Amino acid sequence: MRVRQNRDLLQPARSAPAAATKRVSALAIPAWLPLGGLLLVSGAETVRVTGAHRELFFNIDHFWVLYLLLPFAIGLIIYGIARRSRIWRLGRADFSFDNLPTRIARVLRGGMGTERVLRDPYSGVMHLCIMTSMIVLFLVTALLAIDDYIPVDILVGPRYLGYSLVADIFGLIGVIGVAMAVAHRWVRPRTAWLPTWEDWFIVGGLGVLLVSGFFVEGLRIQASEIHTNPEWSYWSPVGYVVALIFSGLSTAAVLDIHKALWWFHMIGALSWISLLGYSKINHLVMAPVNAFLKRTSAPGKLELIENIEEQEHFGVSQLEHFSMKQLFELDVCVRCGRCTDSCPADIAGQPLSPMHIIQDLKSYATAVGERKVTNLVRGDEINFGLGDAPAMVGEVVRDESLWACRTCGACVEACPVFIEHIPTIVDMRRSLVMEEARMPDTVQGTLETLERQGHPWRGTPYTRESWMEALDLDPAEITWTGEQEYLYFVGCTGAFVDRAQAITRSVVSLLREAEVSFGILAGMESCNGDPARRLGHEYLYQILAEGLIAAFDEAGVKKIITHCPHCFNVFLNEYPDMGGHYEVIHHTQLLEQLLTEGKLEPREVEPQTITYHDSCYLGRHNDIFEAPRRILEQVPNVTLVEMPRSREQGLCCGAGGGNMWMEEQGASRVNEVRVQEAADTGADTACTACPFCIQMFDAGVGTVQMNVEEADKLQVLDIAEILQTSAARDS
Amino acid sequence: MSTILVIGETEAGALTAATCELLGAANRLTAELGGDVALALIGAEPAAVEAAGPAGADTVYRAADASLVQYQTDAHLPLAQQIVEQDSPRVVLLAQSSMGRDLAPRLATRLGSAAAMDALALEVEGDRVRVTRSCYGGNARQVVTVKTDPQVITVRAKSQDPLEPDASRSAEIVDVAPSDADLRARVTSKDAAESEGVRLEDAEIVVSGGRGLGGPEAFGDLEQLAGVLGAAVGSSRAACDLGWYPPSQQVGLTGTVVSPTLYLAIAISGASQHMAGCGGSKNIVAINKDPDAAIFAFSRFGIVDDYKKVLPALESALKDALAG
Amino acid sequence: MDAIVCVKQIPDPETPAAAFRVDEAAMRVLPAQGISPVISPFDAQAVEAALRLKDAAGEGSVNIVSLGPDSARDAIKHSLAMGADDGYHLHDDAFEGGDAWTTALALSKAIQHLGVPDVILFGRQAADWDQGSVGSIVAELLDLPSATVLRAVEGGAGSLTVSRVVGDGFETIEIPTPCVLTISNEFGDPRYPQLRQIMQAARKQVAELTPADIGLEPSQVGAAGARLEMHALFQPTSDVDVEIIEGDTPEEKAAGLVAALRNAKIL
Repeated sequence: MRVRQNRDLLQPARSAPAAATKRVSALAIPAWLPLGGLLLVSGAETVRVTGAHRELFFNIDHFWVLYLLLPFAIGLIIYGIARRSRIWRLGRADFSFDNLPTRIARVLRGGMGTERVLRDPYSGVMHLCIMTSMIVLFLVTALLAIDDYIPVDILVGPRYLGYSLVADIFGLIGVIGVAMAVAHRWVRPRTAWLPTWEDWFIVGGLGVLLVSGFFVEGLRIQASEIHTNPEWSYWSPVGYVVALIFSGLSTAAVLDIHKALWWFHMIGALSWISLLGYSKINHLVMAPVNAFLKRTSAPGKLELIENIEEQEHFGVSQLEHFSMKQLFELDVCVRCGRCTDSCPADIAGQPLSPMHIIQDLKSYATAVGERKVTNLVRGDEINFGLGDAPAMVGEVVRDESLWACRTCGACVEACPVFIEHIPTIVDMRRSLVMEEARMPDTVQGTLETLERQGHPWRGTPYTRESWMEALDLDPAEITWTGEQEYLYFVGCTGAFVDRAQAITRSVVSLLREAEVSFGILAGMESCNGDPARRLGHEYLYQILAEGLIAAFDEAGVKKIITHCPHCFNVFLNEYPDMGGHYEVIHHTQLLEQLLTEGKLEPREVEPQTITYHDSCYLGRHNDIFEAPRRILEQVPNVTLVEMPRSREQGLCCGAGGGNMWMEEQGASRVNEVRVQEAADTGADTACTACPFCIQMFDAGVGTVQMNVEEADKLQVLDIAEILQTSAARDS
Repeated sequence: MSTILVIGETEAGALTAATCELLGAANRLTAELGGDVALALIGAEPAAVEAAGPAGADTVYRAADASLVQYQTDAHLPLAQQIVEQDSPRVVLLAQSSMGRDLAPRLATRLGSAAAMDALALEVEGDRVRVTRSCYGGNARQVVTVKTDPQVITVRAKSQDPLEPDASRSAEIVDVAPSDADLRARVTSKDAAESEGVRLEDAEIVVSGGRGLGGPEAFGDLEQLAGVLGAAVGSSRAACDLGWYPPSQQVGLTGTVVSPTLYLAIAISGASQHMAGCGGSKNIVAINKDPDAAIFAFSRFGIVDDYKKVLPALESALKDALAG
Repeated sequence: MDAIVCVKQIPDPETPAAAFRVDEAAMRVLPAQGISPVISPFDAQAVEAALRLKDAAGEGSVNIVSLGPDSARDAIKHSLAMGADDGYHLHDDAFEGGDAWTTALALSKAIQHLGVPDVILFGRQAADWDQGSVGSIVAELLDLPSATVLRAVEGGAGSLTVSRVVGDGFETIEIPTPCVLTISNEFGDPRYPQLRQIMQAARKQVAELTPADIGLEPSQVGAAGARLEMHALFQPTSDVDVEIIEGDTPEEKAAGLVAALRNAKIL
C-alpha cells in the first residue's frame, strides 16, 4: 500500500492584508513584466481586430467594456503572483547565476523548447499540440492587430486566406491536444496522480475556449462571409462547417447568438488567462524561469552548510529554512508525475513519491506559509500562533518518505520543469538527523560507526589492509610515498566488504599491468564523509572531509583514482567547497584511457552477453555513460545488451542515499526490480562499476533467481573484474 | 577456619551445578594451598546441605531460613560477611551468577579486600590464586591476583569441573543465626523470562538459518534446537526477505548485530552483509553442504553436510551432552 | 530527581577482532588505527536511564563523573551532549594504573564531594575490563542500597521500582533513594545526541578534580592503591582455521561437533 503524505492536517489559511504586497518580489518581476506586456498586446488586439477586414468589432456593441476587463485580468495575474511571491520570499535569498550560457541554453532548450516534455511520446505530443496551438493563435491575433494598425494591408487576398487556414488548423490542433489531455486523465491516468478541479478548469476551460472560438468564427461566417464571399469561408474549414450548422437560422438569430458567444469567449479567455496567477498554468512562465534557476552543478551535489557551528537550525524543518528557489519551484510543479514514475522507491512500492513531496509542501506552503507571512506583516514572530500547524517534517512529509530516497536523481532528470528534489529531501533529512536525532536504528548505527571507526561498515571483520593479503605482492610496493602520480583511494567498501575487496584487487592488478604510477594510503585512509552527508549528517561529513583533505594535502595528493562512484562524486563535486581540489578519475575512465593508449590489451573471454547497469552517481550525476560501454565493446567475445531503463533513465540499484545501510520498507526491494530487468535482457552477466551496485545485485540475484540453476544465474561483476580476466597478466 | 570458602547457591533445594564446580576448583586449589574447603549455604534446604560433603565441602555454614531462599543484597551481604569473618578463609569463591556478581564486590569491600570477577581459570602461585579472566568483550585474557585478603573471586559457570560425588565424604555443619538485616532494597516479585524465548541481542547462543534452508518450515527445526540450547533464533536477510522468518530476527547489517559466545550458522553462505551482524561472535559454527561457502572462513568449527541430516543428530547429541 | 552517572571512555568494543592488538609487555591494549575510543555502551545506557528519570520527575539534575586520562573528557562530553547537566573529570597522573577498587574509592569520594544525589548510576560493567564491580563497591563505600544489572528503572525521589535481569527471568525490586543502580544492555538504546547539544556540550566547561580535591592521598589511588595486580594481558589464541568435523554419518559429525564444543569450553 502506498503511503500518502497527509493533507488533512493542513489548516485553512487566514487571508493576509494586501499591504504585504508592497514589496515586489525579485522573482515576481521577471515573471510578470514580460507576461503583462504580452497579455496587454494580445488581449487588446484580440478585442480590436475581431472581424477585421470587415468591421473592427463585428456585431459587438459596448466593446469598450473589454478595455476595462483586460487590465483587470492583468491586475489579477499580477496580484496572484505577487501575493504568492511573499511565500517564496520567506526563504533564504541565495541565488546563483553562474554558468550563464548553460542556464540560457537550458531556458531555450528545456524551458521554451520543452525538450524533456517530449521524452514521453503521448504527453509530449499532447503538450506540443496545446503549446503550439496557443503560440500560433497568439501570433495570428498579433499579426491581425499589426495588419490593422499599420497603413499597409498585409493580410489581403491569398495571404489572408492562407492565414485563415493556418489559424483554423492550429485551433484544431489545440482541440486535439485538449482531447488528448482529457483522455489522458480519464483513460490513462498516471500512477502518481488523480485529476483535481485545477486540471478540469485548465484543460476543460481551454477546450471550451477553443470550441467557442470556432463557434464565434462560424457564426460570424454564417452572418457575413458565407453570403458575401463564400469562397473565402472555405479557407476557414472548421468555421465553415460550424457556419453550416447555423444555416437554418435567421440572420438576426445568428447575430444574437454570435454576440452572446463572443462575450462568453472573450470573458472566458480573460478569466482563463487570469488563472496564470493562481494555478499551474503559471508553468508557461515559471518553468522557463526555473530552468534558469536550476543549479548547473552535478544534480546530486549537496550544498555546504557554511559555518555550521554557528547555525540556529540544521537543515530544514520550517518553510523559511528553504531557499527562495526551493519554495518557488514548489509552485512550478505541474503534477505530471514523471518524477514519481521514475522513482526507484515508488517503482518498488515503497513509501516515497517525489511529486507528492513537492505537492504536499506546496499545500503546506499555501496553508501555513500564508500565516507566516501574516505574522511577519503584523510584526509578530514568524511562527506566532502556529502551534496547531502540522510538523512539516514528520507529518506533512513523513520520515519514511525522506529515508526511502536514494538520491539517485531519476526524478530530477525526469522533471520537465526542472525541479531539484534531492536538495529539498536531503535538507529535511538533515533536520531529522542533526536537529531531532530521529532516524532508523540502522542509520544511527552507521553514523556511530562512521564517528568512531571512520567507516560505515559496522561489524566488519576486516581492516583497511585485509584485502592485500590475497595479493601476491609486498604492500610496500603499492604504498603511497608521495612520489607516485595517482593516489588510488580504495574506499571503505573496497576495504571492508569482502565482495568489494575482489574489485580492489582487480583494479590494483590492472593498474600494475598498465604500469600506472599509483599508491594507496591503506591504514591512513578514512571515510570521505559521503555516507554521512547523504544520510543528512552534514556536520559529520564536514569533520570527516576536513580530516581527509588534511591527510591528502599532507601526503601531497594531487590526482585520485577511485572505483567507487560515490567517492568519485564527493571528491569531484563536493570537496572543492571544502577546499579540497584534486584531479579525480573514475576507474572506468582510466581503464578506457589505458585501453586506448594500448597500455592494456583486452584478450578473449568466454563468449558472453553482458548488460551494463549505470551507477547513478557515475551516470546521471556525473555523465559517465560511455566509458564503461566502450571498455566492454573492446573485450572480444562480449555482446553488450541494454536494459530498457539505461543511461540517463537508468534505475538505481537501491543502495543510494544511504539506503545501503537501511532496511527497506515497502512492497518489494529496488534491487530485485533491477535484477529482474537485468535478467530479462537474457544477459549472462550484469556488469557495473560501483561496489554498492554489486552488493545489491548479488543480494537481488539470490532472491530473484533463487530457483535458477547455479550455472544459469546472472553473474554480477565489476567492469574491472571483467577486464582483469581479459587483460591482466595474473589472471 | 578453612583455606577456601565457597559461597554456594541452591536451586529447587539442590546445589547448583556452578556450586559443585566451585567445590571442585576449591579442592584442586587446596591440594596445593593446603587446608580445608568450606561451603556457605544461605537459605539452604536440607537436601542441599547433605550433598555438600560428597561434592567436596569439609564444612558447611548453614543459614537456613525460608526468607533467605530469594537472594537479596541487603539480607545476604551481612550473613556472608559474618560467615567469612567466622571462617576467616584466604580465598572466597563465588559463581559469576546473578548473585555472585552482585554480592562479591560488596562483600570484598566490606572485608577490606577486592574481588576478581568472572574467572575462566584458577592456578596457585605462592599464597595467591592467579585468576585468568576474560576482558575486552572476549578479545583478551587477563591474569590477575588479588593482593589483599581474603581473595574474593567469582568464577564463570562451566569453566571448572566438579568432583565425582564421593558419598563417603561428609561435612561438618555449622549453623549460622541470621541477624536482623536492614532490608533496604526488596525483591517484590519475580517473573520468568518471557516465553517467546531469548532476545536475539542478549542471547549467549544464537542458532541462525539462511536461504539454504530451502523453506520456512525448517525454522521450526531451528527453534527446536534453540530450545535445547537456550538459544535465540536468527535469520539471514535473504531468508527474512523470502518471508520465512520475521524481520525482527534478522541478523546482519540492516538487522540486529549480535555477538554471542556461540553462533550456529545453518545453511548460511556468509555474505558480508550477514557477517556484519554476527562477525563479533566469539565462536561461529557453520553447517553447510557447500564446502566452499564463505561462512567457513569465519568459523571455528564446521560440518560439511546437508543440515537436514545433521540437525536431528545434533539435537539428540546436545540433549545427551547437556543432560550429562 | 538528582542523579550522578559514572561513565568511562574505552576502546570501541566494536573494534573488529582483526584490528584488536595487545601490547603484552606493557599489558595494555593498543589503540586500533582509525578507531576512536567511545563511552562504554552500558554507561551510555546509564546516562539514558538518568535522563529519563529526570524527565519523568520534571526537575532535577544529571551530573557526570568520569575517572580517566584526557580521553575520558570525551565520554563526559558525549553524556553532556545526550542532555546531562554538568561533568566532572577525575584527572590526575596519580589516578593512573588503578583497579576497580581505587576507581570506586575515588568515585565515591567525588560523589561525597559533590553531594550524594537521589540516585547514582553505572553501566553494568565497563566494556573494557568487564569486571562489573565498581558500582557495587561505590554503594558499599557510601553505605547505600544497590541493585545491579537492571533493564528498567521507574519512580522518583524516595523510592524506585527497578527490574533486574537474573539468569531465569526478571526480579522486581523496590529500592529507596539514595541508591546505586547499574544498567544493563536490556535497558534499550541510548539516544543519539542532537547536533545542537553536541555543540553546547563542546563549549561546556568540565571541572577537573584531583585526589586532593576529593580528600584522598595520591598513595590511595591509581596503581599505588590498587588491590588487584595484573600479571599478564594477552589475546587468546583461537584456531584461525576452521576445524571441519569429519565423520562417516551425520550422527558421527554431530557427536564430534558437540565433543569439540565441550572441549573448547564453549558449551
